[in-house]
Amino acid sequence: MTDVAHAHDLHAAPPAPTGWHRLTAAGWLRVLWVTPLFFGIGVALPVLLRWAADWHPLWKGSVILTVELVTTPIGFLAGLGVFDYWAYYASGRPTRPEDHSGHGAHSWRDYFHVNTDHKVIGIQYVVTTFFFFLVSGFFALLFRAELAQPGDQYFNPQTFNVLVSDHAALMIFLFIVPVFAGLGNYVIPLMIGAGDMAFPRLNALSFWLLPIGGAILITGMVMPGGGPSAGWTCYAPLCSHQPLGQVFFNMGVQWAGTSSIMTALNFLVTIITMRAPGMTFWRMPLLVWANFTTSLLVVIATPFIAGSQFFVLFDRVLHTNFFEPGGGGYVLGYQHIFWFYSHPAVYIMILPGFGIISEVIAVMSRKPVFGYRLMALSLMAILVLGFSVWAHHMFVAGMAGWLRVPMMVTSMVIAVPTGVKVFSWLATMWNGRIRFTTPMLFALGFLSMFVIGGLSGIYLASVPIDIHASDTYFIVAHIHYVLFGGSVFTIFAGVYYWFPKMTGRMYNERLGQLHFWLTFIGFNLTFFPMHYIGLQGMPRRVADYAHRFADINLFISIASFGLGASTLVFLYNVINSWAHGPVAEGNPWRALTLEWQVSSPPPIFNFDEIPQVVGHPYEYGVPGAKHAILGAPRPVPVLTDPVGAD
Amino acid sequence: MRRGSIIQLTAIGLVAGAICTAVALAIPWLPVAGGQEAGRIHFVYWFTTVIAICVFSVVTAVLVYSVWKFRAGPDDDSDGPPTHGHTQLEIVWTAIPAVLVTAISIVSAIVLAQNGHAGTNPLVIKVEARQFAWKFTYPNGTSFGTLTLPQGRHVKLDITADDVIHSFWVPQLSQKQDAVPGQHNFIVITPTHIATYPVVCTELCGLGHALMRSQVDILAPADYEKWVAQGGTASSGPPGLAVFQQNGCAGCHTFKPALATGNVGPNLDNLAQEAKQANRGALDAFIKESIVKPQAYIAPGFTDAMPHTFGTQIPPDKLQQLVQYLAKGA
Amino acid sequence: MTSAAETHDQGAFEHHGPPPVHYSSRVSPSVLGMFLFIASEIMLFGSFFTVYFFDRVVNNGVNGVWPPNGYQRPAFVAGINTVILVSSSFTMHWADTSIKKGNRRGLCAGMVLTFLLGLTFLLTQVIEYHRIGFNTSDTSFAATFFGLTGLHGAHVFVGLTILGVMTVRAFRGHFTPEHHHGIEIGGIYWHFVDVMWIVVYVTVYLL
Ligand code: HEA
Ligand code: HEA
Ligand code: HEC
Ligand code: CUA
Ligand SMILES: [Cu+2]
Repeated sequence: MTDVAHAHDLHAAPPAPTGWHRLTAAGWLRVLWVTPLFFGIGVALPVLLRWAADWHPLWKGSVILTVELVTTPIGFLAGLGVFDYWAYYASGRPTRPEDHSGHGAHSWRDYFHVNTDHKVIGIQYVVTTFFFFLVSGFFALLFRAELAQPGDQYFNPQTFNVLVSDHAALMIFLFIVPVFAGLGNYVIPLMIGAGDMAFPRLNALSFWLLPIGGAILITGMVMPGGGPSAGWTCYAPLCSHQPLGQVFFNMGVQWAGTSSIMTALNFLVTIITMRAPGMTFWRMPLLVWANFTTSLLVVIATPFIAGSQFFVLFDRVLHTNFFEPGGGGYVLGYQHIFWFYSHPAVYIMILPGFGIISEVIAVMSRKPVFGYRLMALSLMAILVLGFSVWAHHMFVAGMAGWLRVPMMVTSMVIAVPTGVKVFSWLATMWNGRIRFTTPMLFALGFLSMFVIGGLSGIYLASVPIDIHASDTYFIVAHIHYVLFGGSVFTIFAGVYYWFPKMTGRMYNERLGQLHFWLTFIGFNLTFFPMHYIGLQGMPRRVADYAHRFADINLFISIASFGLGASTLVFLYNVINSWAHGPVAEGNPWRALTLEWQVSSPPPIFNFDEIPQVVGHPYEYGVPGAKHAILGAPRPVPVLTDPVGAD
Repeated sequence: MRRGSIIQLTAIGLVAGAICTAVALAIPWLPVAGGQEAGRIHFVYWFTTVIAICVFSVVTAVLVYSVWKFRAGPDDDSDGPPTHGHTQLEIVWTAIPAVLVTAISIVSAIVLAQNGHAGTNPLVIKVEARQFAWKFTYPNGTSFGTLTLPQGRHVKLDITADDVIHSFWVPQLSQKQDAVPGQHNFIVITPTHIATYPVVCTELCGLGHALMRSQVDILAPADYEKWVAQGGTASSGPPGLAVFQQNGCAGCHTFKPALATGNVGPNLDNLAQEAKQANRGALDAFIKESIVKPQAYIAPGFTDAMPHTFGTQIPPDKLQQLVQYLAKGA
Repeated sequence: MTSAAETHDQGAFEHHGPPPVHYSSRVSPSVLGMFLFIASEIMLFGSFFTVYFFDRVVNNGVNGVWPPNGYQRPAFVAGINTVILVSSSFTMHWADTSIKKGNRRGLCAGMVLTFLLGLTFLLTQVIEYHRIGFNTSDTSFAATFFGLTGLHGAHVFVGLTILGVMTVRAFRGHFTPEHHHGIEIGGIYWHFVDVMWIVVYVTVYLL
């Protein structure tokens, strides 16, 4: 790589391409022709291969569709320019040096291009994922309208099932999991004193896979014959016999999963190799710890959902018998593989939130995090235990009987490290000087709601209770208490907390508090009654139900509209403050962690000089304590390359 | 910690606990326990609830107390005391939850074992689930679309499925078990009440999942014997009705004579009209074709969602009964 | 590959821009990244082995036999193929050590040999598929057979693409004793593909 041409004066964006070059330069114009090209390849490839291998019929819709869902997105990415650097490298041409034209955003348009700056990517992530949050929340409101009365009013069961499946899939794969990746993207390099992520181009690729995954999931809904309607869990063999839209589901999950693996890998490498001098593991903010453990979970567990979706896809497209009992397949194998990812996934969806809460509570209570080391260790404990409980989703599935009790015990034991966290947060607040800003309100809302959700998890972990409650609205209540009352509340806390850092402007505190109260009340009114109807006998995933549940369901539906409306307050606040809010100072919360020690928004390379970390991140109230020294003379000698590289 | 704050904290905790207890007791959370197993499960439920209320009250007490006492004034820029941790405290709050969840686990495991006991002479009934109907087969070989059980006897259900996964659940009996194709699963039920309860399919199994219902009639032992002796009089209607019910037609179709309310497929009350519109021969022939080969003609406004397998699934004589039954209703 | 490109840039800033990167670990980011990537690849294979385990062990094969009656596994041909693939690991290693010693000729020869051995493996595999006598739709045995070998085949294909790029660059003289990250990282991946094959071979053809 000696051939890398070092242009010293290429700091500004390269001159805009003109004439034909506009069509060949990376960007949306190129997308316009490269995507159809790859679409064509996606059709030609299977047909030609089948012709060569003499398989008939040559034209097989489901096969072509599957290949299509791989090639077309690649075409899109190539057109956009995500692969440019690697393509240059691969073809042996001189690669363009990092000229920083891909850094920083100067106008809103820059957010629609490939950008390698972790701060830009972070915002791209958060905004995109919130878009999917709104869409899938909107789906929820649609099917809640249907559920307001028994019988079928607006949607037939097919459409209803599609709405439920995509509601959950979008929420999980395109909101909760990636929004944490987005927030992490923005703050982690800052928090550990690095200039960017370890692999900025991979980072850009991870982001651009997301809208693809989302677009595929949503397109699948409107496919002729019906969208994916087997629930987000997509159990075989039902799932292998669904209308064509199901293929979109299987493939959309793959793209989102790939994105999440690559981001996780990037986080891990960044956290391991790019911490500022002095930033030992025991001096890392807990958010970094949380993302570190989450990323380990992602890297290890996510391939399993990829596998599970491949198998059902193959069962459908290639008529394999992985899970077809008639051909010697084992039906429950799917569930084991699926939950081996999807249980750890629920911790993927909550651990980063735990990190956010630790930051917010410490800063807003002006006290060090209570039991910092145990907090970090309990994250690790959850990580390890999380891999040993997957079959608690299968207590009634008819799996091997001897597995039930061990799985019950491990599931229960997870309450212990989680409890350590809850109690430590409470102890952090104890005797503090608490400021009830919006992030803190959401943190408190999280604490109380997550405990309810966690406790209903304990009910479910008890096999006999689960036998009664499984697959009823009790589960739906549990899901939303941990995912909405848990994860979403932490996300709101995080978004408000870092809003000044990310946008350089302050949000409106009164609207923020209004948003919190509306959400908190709407949330409880919507989801608390679900415990009751579930235990009483209402199964989940039904468009029609017994008349005795009519009143409560009407109540829930009305409450859910209120909950949806509360989101509008948030949207107004965010959009308005981003455009017109008062300019934020660098450190409005007087926090100690590194991201607050730079301007808001941070300079293009985060730190002009590498900060020197000298102490713990949460030493509030300790006289003279310092977390890091900025602008210190560069430590000599700077280790610009790790030993063993090159 | 001062004495005063301990008292205040305890008071808040007690109030929170009292409110939770009131909520737990005032609302009838669980359906009546119609069987021995359900009774035991309810016990585990209440056992867990007591622990859950304690945990929640402790958390709420500390939370409310902190919110109340540790609020910083608007111009207060001071920091809290720099406490970093407290080893004993941390050990305590690791140990206590560990003990509590162990207790729940032990109780659960015992109940699970008890609920699996079917005695030496259980009544074994085969349960077969298919989109979207239940079929219950008795030891003497007769089968029905609804379940009839004797009170007070251990019943062992041998559950399987023909197509996709379903799940057998009777809320009042609390026992639930997935019906998995290619596999036999078992649950034990010992009914204690003479009553009729719904059978609900709780696993998403396709378009008719919401309407995949049946019922369980629990009879006094003597009545049950009588019922068996008479060869089971469950389906009192025309023979076609039983076929209709056993094949899950109600999951997708509305048909008044059968009290069916599905609307995935066309309303079968209007069949005569439909047949005319379709113009595919006589009414009987049209109905038969629609069942055996639904893809031959797709009713306007619908998709080809009706299973293509009924032709092989329903024996010819039953099919004939079904066609007649539908033709008469139309 | 990906990662190889990354570090270099960051290490090589000569112009003013971001402050030089401080590395807090002795492991190079790209090597670490490759190992993490392989960890997740192992889990992907793991999921295929899991489904194999369920179909064969938990489900007790197809009606109790595995492979089902009438199915033959070409263990011998595949064994020879195994030898071919494993030897490509050695040529890969040779290429790697050559460039470290500054032996460009050894590098090029090693790369070409590795590539050709890999290609032979893949073609043999394709021919085997064609002649195997059963199809994906024939029982769960066939499903796991094609699943595991196919997943591995896809990895060989990706590996070959990477090898191809490395070979081109080797001939263009882009690697020197100081700068041969591309070879090292690509090599790690190729070794992984080879080792994985041994596991797949033993499970699918021998057990
Ligand atoms: C963020 C997501 C999230 C989180 C964190 C959790 C956390 C937990 N979940 Fe949940 N779960 C889901 C998301 C989540 N879950 C989803 C989406 C499903 C449904 C999937 C589907 O089928 O669609 C599900 C389903 C589900 C089931 C399967 C039910 C069924 O389908 O039959 C079970 C069963 O064991 C379960 C258990 C638990 C347990 C024991 C925890 C524990 O981790 C909770 C631990 C926390 C606490 C207990 C509270 C704090 C602790 C203390 C204050 C200490 C003191 C406590 C005690 C002494 C008890 N969950
Ligand atoms: C993070 C996860 C998450 C979140 C946030 C939510 C949010 C909501 N969920 Fe969902 N839900 C799940 C995850 C989640 N859910 C999962 C995993 C399942 C299981 C699925 C399965 O069984 O497969 C499920 C299932 C589920 C069910 C059960 C369906 C069934 O079994 O039949 C119900 C029923 O009421 C429900 C309701 C709601 C409601 C009312 C909200 C509300 O909070 C939504 C609030 C609304 C908004 C936030 C939208 C606001 C938008 C506007 C006001 C309009 C603007 C619109 C546009 C710009 C397009 N959800
Ligand atoms: C999965 C849902 C489903 C199930 C189960 C089902 N049907 Fe249908 N049925 C449909 C749909 C959708 C149509 C309309 C499309 C068509 O004509 O094929 C239909 C059409 C029909 C028609 C033609 C009606 C007309 O107006 O054209 C008849 C008759 C019929 N079904 C009878 C039955 C009977 C009898 C059973 C049970 C043995 C049954 N169906 C089970 C979905 C279902
Ligand atoms: Cu059968 Cu749901
Ligand atoms: Cu779980």
